[in-house]
Amino acid sequence: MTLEEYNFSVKSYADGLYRFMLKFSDVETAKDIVQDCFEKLWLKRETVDGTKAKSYLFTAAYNTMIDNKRKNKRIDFVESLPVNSGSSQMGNPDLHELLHKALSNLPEIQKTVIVLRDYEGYSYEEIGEITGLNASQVKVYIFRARVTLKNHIGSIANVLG
Amino acid sequence: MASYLEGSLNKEDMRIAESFFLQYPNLLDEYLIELEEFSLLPEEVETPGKEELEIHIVATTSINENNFSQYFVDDMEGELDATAKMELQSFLILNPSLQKEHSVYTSTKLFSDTSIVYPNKKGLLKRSRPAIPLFWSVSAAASVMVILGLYFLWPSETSKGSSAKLVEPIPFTFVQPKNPVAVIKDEDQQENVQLVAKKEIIIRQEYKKPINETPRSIELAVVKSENIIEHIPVKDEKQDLVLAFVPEVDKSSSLNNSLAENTPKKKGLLNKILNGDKLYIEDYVNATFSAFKNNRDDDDKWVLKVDRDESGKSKKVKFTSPIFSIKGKNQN
Repeated sequence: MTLEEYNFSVKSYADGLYRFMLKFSDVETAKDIVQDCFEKLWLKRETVDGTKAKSYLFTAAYNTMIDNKRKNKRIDFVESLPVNSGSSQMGNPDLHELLHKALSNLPEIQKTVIVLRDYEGYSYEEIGEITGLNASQVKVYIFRARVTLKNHIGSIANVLG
Repeated sequence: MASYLEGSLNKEDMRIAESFFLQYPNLLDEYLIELEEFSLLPEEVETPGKEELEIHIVATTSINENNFSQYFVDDMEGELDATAKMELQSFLILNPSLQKEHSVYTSTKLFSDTSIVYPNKKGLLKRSRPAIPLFWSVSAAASVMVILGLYFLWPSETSKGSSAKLVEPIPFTFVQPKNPVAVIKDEDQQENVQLVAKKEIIIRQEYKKPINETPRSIELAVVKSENIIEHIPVKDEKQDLVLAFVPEVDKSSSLNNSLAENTPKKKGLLNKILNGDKLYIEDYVNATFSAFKNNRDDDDKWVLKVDRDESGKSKKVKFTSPIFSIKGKNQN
């Protein structure tokens, strides 16, 4: 990986990585993880293919998040995040909030795969590489997440008429 | 009576009621007639449009009531091929009651808020070291050498030599010898101890600085060369210890002769840098060096440390380099 490819990765992926980590940690932790991931990428630049930098970064971030979970025994979804902090149908504030809450209630792995899918547009195979799952497992988790989200926003929508 | 008819009495009460109504049967008949008049009978009324509320899923070739949710998800995920997508459209036409559910699935797609950005992106960027073409590198090096040459060759007050001038430092550069010193020799000469190290040492550029009152380190730079390091006592009123270099004049001369001949008349002046240049320590009277030793584990600096007593006389000197060290002490 060349210097140019590394800097391109910073410009292209830092924001997405930061938003991804914000779904699982507070702002300061997310910043630290992003910084750590890029430091790792720089240190490993001799062995990391420039075209695989994004995958490397998200894998490193995911593993760091898992490590933090093991250390802390839990991962708190940050309910205090501002409403416009990331996960939503941006054009519909009500639906945005519904999805935000529904997402926070998803099992962690479902939340991870669906955020990677929707935020970053990763394929099932790519998500599998990041999370250590196979594509079929990713598909199942995404399906379950969609059903949960659908049931949540569907039931609320029915109540609201 | 109502409780009797509903059968909610306990056994004892039931037995008492039965015996009562056997004794007065007309009372029970009258009550039943009145009760019938006030009873609500179920009406045979059906909810209009009840069939429309019931969901009957009409299956297509592949999509049925068991897997339509997976198709909905796959559709919003963009995982359906054209054939499957057409079949799903047919399924939705056949099952209009599921169209809303299908649209709700579509609403579960998350969108990233791109207004959130990593705040310290610049801090992550790396800068490249400026690449200097070989031509410019060589040119720069040559320029430096020319400037240095002019600096040292140009006549100056310093070159005219007085001990007072020696206090002016002359910058020097360190260069790590490529070939470490392998043989070091010390010889006692004349009245004073002379330290001689014949090795591949060169002093490329020197720093000549008197060591006055307090012990201090002097760092020297050397490069590969045949060179002699020697201790030359120079009587001086100040009794300062000064490092200087002597250009080699006659390589064929003996060490003693060379020492005598090459003692700089103009202290501290380095005319030019050549192989065989000598480092001498002047104004270090009555000193002796007790040891030479290889000291390869040291850092890459040559260090001369001189300890002085209260009267200012040197007591001990230590001269170290990556390749050897010299320890000396005052003979007095």
